Amino acid sequence: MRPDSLPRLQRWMQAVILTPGDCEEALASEAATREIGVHDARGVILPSKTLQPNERLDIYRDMYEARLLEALSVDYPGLADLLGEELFAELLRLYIRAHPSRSYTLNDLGDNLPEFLRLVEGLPRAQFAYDLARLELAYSKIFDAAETPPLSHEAITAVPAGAWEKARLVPVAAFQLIAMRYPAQLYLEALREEKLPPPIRRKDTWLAIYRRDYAVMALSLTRPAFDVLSALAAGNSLGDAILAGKMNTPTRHRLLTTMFQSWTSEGLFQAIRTEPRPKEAVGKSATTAGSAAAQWPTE
Amino acid sequence: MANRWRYPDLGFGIGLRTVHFPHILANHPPVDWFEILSENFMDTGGRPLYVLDQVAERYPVVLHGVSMSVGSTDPINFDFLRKLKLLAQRTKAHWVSDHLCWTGVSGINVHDLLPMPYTDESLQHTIDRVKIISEFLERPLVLENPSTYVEFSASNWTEWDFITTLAEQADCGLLLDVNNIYVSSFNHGFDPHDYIDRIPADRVVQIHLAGHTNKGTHILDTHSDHVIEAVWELYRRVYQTMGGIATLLEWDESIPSFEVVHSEALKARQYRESPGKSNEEAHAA
Ligand SMILES: [Fe+2]
Repeated sequence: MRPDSLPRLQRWMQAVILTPGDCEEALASEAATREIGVHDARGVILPSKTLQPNERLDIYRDMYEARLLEALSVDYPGLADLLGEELFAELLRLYIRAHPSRSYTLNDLGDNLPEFLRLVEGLPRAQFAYDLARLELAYSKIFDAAETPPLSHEAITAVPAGAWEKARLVPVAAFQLIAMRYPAQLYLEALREEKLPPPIRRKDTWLAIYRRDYAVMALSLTRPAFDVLSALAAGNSLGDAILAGKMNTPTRHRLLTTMFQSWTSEGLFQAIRTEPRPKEAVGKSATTAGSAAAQWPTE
Repeated sequence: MANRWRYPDLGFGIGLRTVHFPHILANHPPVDWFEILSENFMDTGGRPLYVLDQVAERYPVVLHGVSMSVGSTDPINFDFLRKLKLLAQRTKAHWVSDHLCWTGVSGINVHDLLPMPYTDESLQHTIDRVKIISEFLERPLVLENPSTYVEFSASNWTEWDFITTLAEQADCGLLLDVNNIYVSSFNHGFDPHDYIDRIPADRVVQIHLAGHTNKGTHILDTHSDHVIEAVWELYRRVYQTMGGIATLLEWDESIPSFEVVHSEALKARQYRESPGKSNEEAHAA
């Protein structure tokens, strides 16, 4: 392959853009020299009247970092606020090196950031930062999830009383459950309202993230309610889901009346299936975004 | 002069931007048409898509993308094209455009409009890909000239000859970004009139206008400001040589109110009406 063939020029230029440090270091990097050696590289780009080749390449190099950091900042304003501008930017630079974009859409760029945080040593308030990042990612995903019309009041009242125990409630597509060690939603709320964030105090928190009139909402749940919703999202019948909630009788009663009503009026479900569950689906996770996040975060 | 596909001159449009959603939905402002950034709507089922449906019902729209990576040596992303085609159908888009550039290789996306070397090899490569993409989309792809900041020593074509030959041989349309011509002419030291005079008028279906950031040593295509006078004069020349073509104002950074953006777009009218400088004067300017 000629040194200036199109595939080689593209791989070389991309390597020079993606490699951090100054342009000379990027040109001498393993990824760049695999395509074009340092000596030949000096002739690839022409100088302009005002700029040397490296300065011209730096325009693309600077824009790359700026663009990706900007996109991530939009997705993680809370984390940015928590860590402060400098530390956040440093973190993101490490992140985009470890997870360069592999998608045509910037929407997916931050998908691995919460888990990446767990690998960073010495991160201040690490568990809170992790919860906050997971919550912000959930907000982004729910913002863009498909729109599925929620159950109508008529559909709910049409279910015969005897059919409820075996009924399976299918959550809307824009629905996700999240369990956290900290009430990270309060931090984001304060930020949105331009108030001082509340002190960061440990408190087990369970949320349902969903959309109402296209706005992303967070509904606080009790642990039993979270367990019931998790079981429903995984495709279990209402009867089995309630067993999963491990509740005493008064709690169960409250769940079945007030809580269930609030879930349906918030539009958390799109369908009630009263026919038996298809065999092959048993044991598989539900198709909503919910099942993936409905796990207790590991410490 | 009409383009060869008889795509309409839609008048003076602006790019649909999130910050203007509430204003547009509440007031239905009298804009001739909107340009939609395809990638902002291809992977969402939420509010953006809801707003887009409202807009597409009331206004003519065209799709404009940044991720097709027409010139890349990676395989064509048909998953992307499938979604794009569906979006074009959903919005009844008049045409679908992207840029003469590449955005990444080896499966990585740099999310930038990276420059092509203007060589015989890259010309043939791009012609082949544009043909495949147009066939898949079942419409002629419309390609925009990007702003560029480097020139490859390997290039043996001028950009204007390259893009003209590409358009003719791949039978595609052109989106002539007058600001990008100005930016690249400044960065690479060519005469923008040479560029405009070479472009085949019957392939130009849309014009872009935008502001930029002059750094002294080079110009960045930031879409962050008003259109400068020299770019307006180039627009006048395009009108004089090519006639009325759907014209769109882009504003993407420090976006002002809807009214400011719209009135900037409407300024283009006066450059279609008054005769302006003669070609010789414009050359000398
Ligand atoms: Fe443009």
